[in-house]
Amino acid sequence: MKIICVVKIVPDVDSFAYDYENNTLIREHIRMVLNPDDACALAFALKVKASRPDCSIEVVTMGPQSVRPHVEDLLRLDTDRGTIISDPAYRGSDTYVTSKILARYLSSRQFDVLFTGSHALDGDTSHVPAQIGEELGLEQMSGITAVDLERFDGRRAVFEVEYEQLGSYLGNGHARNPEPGPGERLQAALREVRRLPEGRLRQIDGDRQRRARLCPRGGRQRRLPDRRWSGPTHRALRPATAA
Amino acid sequence: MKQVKRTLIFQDCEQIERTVDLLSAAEKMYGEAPFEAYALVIDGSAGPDGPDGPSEPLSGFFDKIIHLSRQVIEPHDQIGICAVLTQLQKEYQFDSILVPATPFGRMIAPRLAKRLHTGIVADITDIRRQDGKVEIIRPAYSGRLMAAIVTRGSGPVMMSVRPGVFKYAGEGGMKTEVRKYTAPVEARGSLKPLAVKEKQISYDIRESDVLISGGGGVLRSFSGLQRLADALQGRVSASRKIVDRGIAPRSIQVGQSGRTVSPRLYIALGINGAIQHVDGMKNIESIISVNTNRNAPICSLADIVVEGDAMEFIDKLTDRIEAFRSEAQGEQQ
Repeated sequence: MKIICVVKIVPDVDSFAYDYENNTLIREHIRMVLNPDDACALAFALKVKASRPDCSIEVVTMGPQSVRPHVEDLLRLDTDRGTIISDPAYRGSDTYVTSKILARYLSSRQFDVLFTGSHALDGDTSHVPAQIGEELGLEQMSGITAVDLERFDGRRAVFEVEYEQLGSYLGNGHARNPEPGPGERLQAALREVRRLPEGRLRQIDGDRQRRARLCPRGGRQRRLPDRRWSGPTHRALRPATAA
Repeated sequence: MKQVKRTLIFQDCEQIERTVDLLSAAEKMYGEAPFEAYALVIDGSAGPDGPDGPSEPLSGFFDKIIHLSRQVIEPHDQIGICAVLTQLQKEYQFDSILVPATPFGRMIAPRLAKRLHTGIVADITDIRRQDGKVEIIRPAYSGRLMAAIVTRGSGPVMMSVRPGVFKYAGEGGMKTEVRKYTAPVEARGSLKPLAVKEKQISYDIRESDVLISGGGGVLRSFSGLQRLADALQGRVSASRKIVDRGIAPRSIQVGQSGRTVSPRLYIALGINGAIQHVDGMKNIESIISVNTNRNAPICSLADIVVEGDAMEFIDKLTDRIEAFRSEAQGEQQ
């Protein structure tokens, strides 16, 4: 079974900074973490792999060059391949473009299942998982809290969803529950120093994606957006100062 | 070219009665200008033998209700529903599509936006008009920042609207046309619900008129809140501090990462009132804050501030209510 985890390295909420001039999040020189929900997704992938010898895991992320050490850390776990999609042209991409770029890469890969977190700590739109699904013609489900490992293979998955719940349980990254969540367990596992396996990390930029002439399912070639999406633009309101 | 703006409101079958509130978001967006309101209703809550579906409570508020029955589509078929919505967009050319930001709505909306090649704003909490421009407001970065979003481009304006934030005050009484959607659905998904389990806590804090809410100050005695809730026929809710410690489930959390509530009375016991918590308190008539620290942020919002211990407050107030009740009963007899 081939699993791909699409993850995001996000600024830790406690140390986030915003560039009000350019309306982008500052992603340099601040503490970044693996998005807690994505950590849950990866932790589950690792659990699947532990129970099946034929399973392989690829971690895919899009972000600036500075995410590299984080992806290296994930490769020190039991993941088989790491891919960073990074290009200065992708900076400030909205969810429409981000999902297009990710889906473009994913369509060149063989996989049985895609895992993502439900929410991201920073933007928290939850758009990218659904929009990757739409791009690839796949169904998608958010807010999964349990998967039946017995009935999980390349063709079917039986899982539980909590519809009542707003936001995911570990979505805030500060969960202090009696039992550590999968995200915390993952962090604990990371502390065991392991040698970085060689040759498992790939980096892809925009030119390479364009040159690669990646063909999505159905055979029709999709063009990567050359310009930024001209949809909504946003600006941040400065936090209200205490009156 | 058509002059009147047209908006489509998607109804999640989990929260039928809240759909009307999304009209208030549309009103804020279009200001004084008239607009045509359409609703897409999916017959999810009424069983196959049930009445004509849940479009009844919306009658009078919308110009047109498009009714999608269970026979046409399964209520949780994201692929099928997107196909229907795409078809409707082709037919009616909506200027805006509003989806409630429920878990299901938040899966449908981005998928549809992608299909319609338009942008989408997630989980919005406010809409402002400034110099004829519409600014859509949403919290971001765990509520540290409020983002104002301006839409451009030709596609329909799409947004998912946080439930419970907008309140529609209109009376209704409009002439509503109901159309049953019978066209064949182009594509269908393969996800099937196998079983539905009820959660332990069956109440919804958003539906309660009286909320007794506990925070960090009542960590050790949170269960004591129930007594006051019973006396006032209200419900118990909590701040994130309580929920993060595993003392209460996430479903009764008030705040940005929990629920947005609008009770008539909100009693905040030992709640500090961080901005993320206050973010979940909308249109509350009266707030009573009980806190040992009279400078806690929540006290500046409260109508009544009680400086002191929350548990003592509960005991005294409950005793008074019970005494008052038995006295009133005595007089009646």
